Amino acid sequence: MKKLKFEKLDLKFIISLNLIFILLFSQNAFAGPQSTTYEMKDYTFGAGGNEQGGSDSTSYTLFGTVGELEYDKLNSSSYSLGGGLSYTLKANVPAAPTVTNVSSWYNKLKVTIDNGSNPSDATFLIQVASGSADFSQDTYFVQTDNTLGANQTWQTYTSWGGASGFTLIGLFPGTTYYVRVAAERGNFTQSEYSTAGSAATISPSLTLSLRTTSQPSPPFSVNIGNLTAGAITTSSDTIDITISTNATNGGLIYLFGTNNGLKSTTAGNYNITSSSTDLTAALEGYGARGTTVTQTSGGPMQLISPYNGASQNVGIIDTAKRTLADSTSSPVTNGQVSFELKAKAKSTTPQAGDYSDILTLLATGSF
Amino acid sequence: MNLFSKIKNVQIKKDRQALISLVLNLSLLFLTIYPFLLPQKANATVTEAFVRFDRHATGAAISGTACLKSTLTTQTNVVLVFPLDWTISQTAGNWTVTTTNLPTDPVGGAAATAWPGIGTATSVTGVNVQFPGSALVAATFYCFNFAGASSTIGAAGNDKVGQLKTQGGSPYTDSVDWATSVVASGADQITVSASVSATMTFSLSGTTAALGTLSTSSVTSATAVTQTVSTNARNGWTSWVKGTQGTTTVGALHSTVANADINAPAAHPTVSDLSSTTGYVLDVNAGTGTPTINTAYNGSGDTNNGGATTTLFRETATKTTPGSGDTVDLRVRAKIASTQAAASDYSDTLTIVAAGSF
Repeated sequence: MKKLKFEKLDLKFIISLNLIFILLFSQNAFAGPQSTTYEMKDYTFGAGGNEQGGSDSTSYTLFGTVGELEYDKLNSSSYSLGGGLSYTLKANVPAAPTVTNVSSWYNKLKVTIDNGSNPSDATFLIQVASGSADFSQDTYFVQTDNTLGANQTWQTYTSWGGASGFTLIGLFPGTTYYVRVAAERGNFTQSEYSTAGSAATISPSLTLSLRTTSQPSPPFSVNIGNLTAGAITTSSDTIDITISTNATNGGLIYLFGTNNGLKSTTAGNYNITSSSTDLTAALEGYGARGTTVTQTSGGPMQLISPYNGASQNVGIIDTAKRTLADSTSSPVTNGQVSFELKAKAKSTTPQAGDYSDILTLLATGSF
Repeated sequence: MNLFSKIKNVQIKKDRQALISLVLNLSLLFLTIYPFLLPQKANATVTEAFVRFDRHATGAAISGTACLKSTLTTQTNVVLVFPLDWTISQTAGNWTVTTTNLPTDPVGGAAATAWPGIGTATSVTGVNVQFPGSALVAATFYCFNFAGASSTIGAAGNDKVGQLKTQGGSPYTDSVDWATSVVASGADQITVSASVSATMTFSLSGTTAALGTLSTSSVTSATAVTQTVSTNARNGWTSWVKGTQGTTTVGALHSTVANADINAPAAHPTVSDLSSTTGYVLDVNAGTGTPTINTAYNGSGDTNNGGATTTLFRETATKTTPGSGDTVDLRVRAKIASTQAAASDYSDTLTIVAAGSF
């Protein structure tokens, strides 16, 4: 053999080549002893004991085999019994992880892995596929921040949330995710992947419905009635708005009017101006007051100030979109808010039969 | 060993070295960044986002507010993806924005920050409308209002989904799906109505005005009678007065005993000054509520002036807006000539009325 003339190779060439080899060989970290021509796929020595059986001391670990068993024949749909040293070294294969869409989630899933009776210092790798149940495409690994990424991230069972699991976040809506787990304890001990668990995110949702006490369907109108100077008049009908959303940050209900008050065209566009006030003390006014909030689940719904006042305290109804209620930053099902309208005229409030306003109710989910 | 054996046989020349080095370096670069080229299935950088429309009704014009709070900052464009069945103007210039009256952050309640660099849309592709934007600050709640001319909300239905995306160094820095609900026409609005009935109150502080013994040298004035009017008539109110003595143009104090009259010095609507003449007049002065006094009775504050009452209703005061406790003082005055027949029963009866102009 002639000596390789390294002096003729430039430094960049050598470095690049070495790094290529490192990257390429790292893909085959768990291969057996090998030469350029051969690889020992199955090999053994010694007998008795195994890493997890406690046959070790503070300085040494004795690995052994339970016999040479034909690799492919001792398999069932749930179990496989491997032979040789590599199987002895491997961590136990965890059971399939539990993957759950807890509550109509559209961008996250709950994952609870099984530790496969591995020691507490065993670490686990969680692989996720969104495109295929056989993990042939769109595969990722769960990262330490519970998002999906390309880096293989090994953590202990405890770090993955233990029996309580963790929430896998940053997912796409309306997508089925398949999750499987591998375990390892030290070098050259990575187990096969578990069978996969799966669940699907759903699409983001928002439903809205509106009605009044006496009108289940549009067009909706509420007549506060005849206003007597100095007296507070409350609408006999309440307005009920119901929302459901799976938005992570909950649903919000907004209210706005068109006139900044109750306006009369015939009275020369006179306006009973709306403001957030206690009508008891006000000479004149108009506004809304929330009366009840309910929900089937989630939330809970809550009235937002100034619409949560007691007695004759009302919140302003103007052209600004104001938050009437929300679901306390949580998804909600059938979150309903009811509110009433109150008005008060003073002695000089012009007589007219056409005081009116148009309320618009909006809902949105904070996704 | 084999590998090195192969390497030693390579005939390396300067040009080939450079070429191989380039290829290897490119390979190294590719392998290094390969993991990052994998398509991210989703990201978790958006902590809050919503698109709130100004109307939920089918057929309504599209306008609303888009908000985002993200942990990323490299944003250059904003893309709103609307539901597929909505009518979206394909003219970018029809998609305008504003940054006033922005909502507060639902989480924490802080005021929203105007989306930096936001402007009229730069392109529209299908239901994707792209607006310009610039870099954001992480964890800041940004919003902007948008409106699309010639664009309308689609058919009624729940869970109408769309997306809010931002573009930066990669195709999309942030992408968040949202849903909204579309309701039937008018099903997101409530017409509120109320009425206010007509009101009117009227009162006089007294029903007599005694002039006492009249003088030939000085003007005698009775204590004022105060007229009070309250009404919600949108055009205000008017008051009138008429006497029972005299004529339709010249009122009088009449004595049955003497069968004599003390007439007004001048016919209505002339105001007379009794300091230089004799007769019987009515002076009207505004109290509260700033009513307007009719010139026929407006003595302008002079204690000797006044106008003639008549046997017809004559306007004394008026106001063009609703009034609450508006007052007017009515004061009769008299001065006699030396030839005026003696009697103690000179009198007149004034009738005062008011009406609201609804």
